[in-house]
Amino acid sequence: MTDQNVALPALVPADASRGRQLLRRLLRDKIALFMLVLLVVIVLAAVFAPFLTPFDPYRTSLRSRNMPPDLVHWLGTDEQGRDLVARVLFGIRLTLASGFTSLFLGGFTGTIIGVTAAYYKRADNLLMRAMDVLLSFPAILLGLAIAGIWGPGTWGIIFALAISTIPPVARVARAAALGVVNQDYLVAARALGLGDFAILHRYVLRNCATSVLVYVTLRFGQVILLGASLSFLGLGAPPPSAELGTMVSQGRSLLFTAPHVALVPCFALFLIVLVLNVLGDAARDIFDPKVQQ
Amino acid sequence: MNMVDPKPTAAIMAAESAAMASEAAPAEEPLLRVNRLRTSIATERGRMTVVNDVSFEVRAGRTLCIVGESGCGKSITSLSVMRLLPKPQGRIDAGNITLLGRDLTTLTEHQMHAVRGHEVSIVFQEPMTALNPVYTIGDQITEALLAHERCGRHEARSRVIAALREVGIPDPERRIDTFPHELSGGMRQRVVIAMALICRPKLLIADEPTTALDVTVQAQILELFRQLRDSHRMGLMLITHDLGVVAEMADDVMVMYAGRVVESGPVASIFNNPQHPYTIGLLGSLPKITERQGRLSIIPGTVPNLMAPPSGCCFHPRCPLSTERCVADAPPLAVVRGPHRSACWLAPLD
Repeated sequence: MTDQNVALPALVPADASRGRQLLRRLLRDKIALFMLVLLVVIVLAAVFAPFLTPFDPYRTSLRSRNMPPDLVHWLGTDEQGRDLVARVLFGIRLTLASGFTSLFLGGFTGTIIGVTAAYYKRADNLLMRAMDVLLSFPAILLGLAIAGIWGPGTWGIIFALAISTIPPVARVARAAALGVVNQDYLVAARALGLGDFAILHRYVLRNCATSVLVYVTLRFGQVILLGASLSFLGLGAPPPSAELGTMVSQGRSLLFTAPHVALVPCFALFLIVLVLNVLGDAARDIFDPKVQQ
Repeated sequence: MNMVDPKPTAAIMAAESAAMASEAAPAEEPLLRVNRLRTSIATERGRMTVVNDVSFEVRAGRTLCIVGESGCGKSITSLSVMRLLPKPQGRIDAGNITLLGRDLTTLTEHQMHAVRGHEVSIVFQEPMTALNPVYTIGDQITEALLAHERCGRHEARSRVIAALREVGIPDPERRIDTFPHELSGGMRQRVVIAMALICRPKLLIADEPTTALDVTVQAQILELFRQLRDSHRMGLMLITHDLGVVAEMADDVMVMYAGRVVESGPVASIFNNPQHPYTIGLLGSLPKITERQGRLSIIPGTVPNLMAPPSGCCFHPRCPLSTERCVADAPPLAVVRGPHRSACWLAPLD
């Protein structure tokens, strides 16, 4: 054997450096870092909402209706005298939870469909044309249809959002998977006798996970905005529940007398979507292998 | 055209050891016997037969080299054996591929999972892209192992380390946890070979395994193939366009042109006494270390378009000896002497 002459490539601790590299890129992006901190604060506030405010978001008080912000009610009260801090915190909670659930459902289904379409070329046309059909329904229409069948409610919104998330995720997943399907290592994997499931899972899915994850993060803000629009239109949980979109729509009639009732949930939405969008962009930059400084 | 007969190969062995062909020991059943294989690929302009009427066999512990220019069907032949033709375009139209007594062309895709990597493995040309970038090499080799055998985590790891050591990877205990991008091309090719051999296949197909490597590493990898072939008594089917590799490695040679076998036989006989103008052309285009030469000779023209193959002998448009008969009729692969066969009307050539 002549392998003593083989030049040893320098061993670099690659997996450690990979994580550290991503972290370094994140730290360099000051705005994204700030937004990340903000997101953590928002999520924590949503999770611990019941402990952060002494007020019950559902208890009405006819004596203190439409009060502007003061020392007791930091953000004022709405037209039924409910504390807006409590309502907004609970609203954020519901919004984030339903946004995440629908994103997860839609992202999961969409990824499976996209990867399947790329791997099984026979199914490609059928699946992707079905996705095109689905894509042609606006989420609002879907929400209306589901609300028509089930009656308005949070789950209806979640499903409408999930379904509207499936086609774009499927497209992204398919595009990414097509790049993997033609790689030599996939043929090599088949040549080793691996079954379709192992190949799909360990080769195709893993290699297009980054693209899908980045797309899904970018999509998060849109989903929340869409969800708020649906509940603004009255397709969400019925009025007493604290949902940001519903709150805006109820405060709309008071826009001139007590503008804070509509503006506070609006601002909360704005903040969430802004944070998620900036983070989505940052995620794309961080995970993009072509952006190697 | 009777390549199914096991006698010619027995004769090769006998001829090489300068014994009488008929006295050869009772022929062992070959590992792989390909009989009149015809494979076609669907293109936008119709179906194209890329491997036509190809027969050969590979025996345990021996090397068959398949040579020819790019696009003459070498790789498709090997992919046909693995049943890994591009889906859905590729198709085996006719012929049998008998591996260890079983006809692979009749197996279902699911049955093929158990054959690939277990009884027959393949090593591809490009080691840089043959490994999954997101897993460590240890994980990948383990996966290949667990696809065919049950074994515990500890046993698997020690077997993977042993496999890495066997293919000459230094410090395998540490290397097992590295990712493909941390390894050089030669190292990756060793990993690919370790992966292909982890389940001890009886037959290894190597499709231009050294083409992408630099010359010193090439020599090491070839040496490794030879060692592994001998230590495991594996059959080796080596696809190459490098006649240097053939001279180094082969027991038997099969020259392909335009999807057909034009000449086959023992390596010494083919190199010393080529019986097909194409083989002569290939050999002539090789520099010789022992002689001063002017320009190397070339074969004019290119491989014919398989959508519209030339009439008669496929090689006649490029052949310096072409006659009217060559244009009209395709020559069969006929015996020249002993196991040496050539598909040329003019054989035996002087």
